[in-house]
Amino acid sequence: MKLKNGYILREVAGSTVVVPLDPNSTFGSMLRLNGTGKFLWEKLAADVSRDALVAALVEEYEIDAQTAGRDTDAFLNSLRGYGALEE
Amino acid sequence: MPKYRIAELLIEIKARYELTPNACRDYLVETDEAPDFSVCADEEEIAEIHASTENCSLGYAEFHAIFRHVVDGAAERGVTLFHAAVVEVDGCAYAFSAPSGTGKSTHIRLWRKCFGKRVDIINGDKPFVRLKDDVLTVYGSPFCGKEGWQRNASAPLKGVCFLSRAEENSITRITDEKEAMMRIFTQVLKTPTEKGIVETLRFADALIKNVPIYALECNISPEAAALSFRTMTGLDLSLN
Repeated sequence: MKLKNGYILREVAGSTVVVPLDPNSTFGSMLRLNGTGKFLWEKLAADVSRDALVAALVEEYEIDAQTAGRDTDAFLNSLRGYGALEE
Repeated sequence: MPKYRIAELLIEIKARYELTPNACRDYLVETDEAPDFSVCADEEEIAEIHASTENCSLGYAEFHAIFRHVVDGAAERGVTLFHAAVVEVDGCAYAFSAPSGTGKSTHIRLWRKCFGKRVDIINGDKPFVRLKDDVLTVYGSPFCGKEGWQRNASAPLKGVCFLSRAEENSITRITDEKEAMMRIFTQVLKTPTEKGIVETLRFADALIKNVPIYALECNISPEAAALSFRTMTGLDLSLN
């Protein structure tokens, strides 16, 4: 899976925000990402599997695989809800 | 084709109806310089706005379409339209932002009434803000609220106040950056290009980092104006 095109990620005053390019959306439809979210978002720029994302999280944040799996699934689900994921 | 200098941008504006050149006349310049960009509204756009807006002449519909094109062109060049009423005091600009109908105009009218000619309105509704070397400067624009308050002037932005109505007056500095960001994002327009969006995000970032931002809850008494005036300008003028 990977991210669809058409999103801009930037730092604004200490927050990471994702804004859709879609001209029908407003700034109200932006996403705010935490550190883990930003890490996963950047990994999803290229085609990547769920398990590879979990493994990357485990390595980067030195957390156990169960926690990393839960965080990854939650993040992927919110991206699906947002319509940003291509699977 | 007439050219206008708005927020230091030279913009060529082609209009069919008289309303647009009339509204923009304070910004008209005679120059052979090449414009930064050119805008015009096509018939389809004008018809669409005309049909979907109540009490809207064709001339006004065209002006509105041109406004959107100017905003988009300006955004790509680091000039953001900020939905606010802006006043100037001693060479410094102070902005009051809020959804339409909250009372931005009423509040700056109170500043005028209470503190007299030292307070000068730059724009009642839609000024531009240019970001350059971390300094934000407000510029007047021909786009303004129904009062027609606009002046071709500029001043460094020294304070922003998000205004809401309340029985009692209170003002607090917004120190939470996320809250400041969310409030700013409700009062800027999202433009269709990546460059424009990136520049608008840079504007929000610079605004939060460099300009004091306040939340003002206020009624329409002179004390409301005195409170925001003292807090934002640091001056202690007596009420007129």
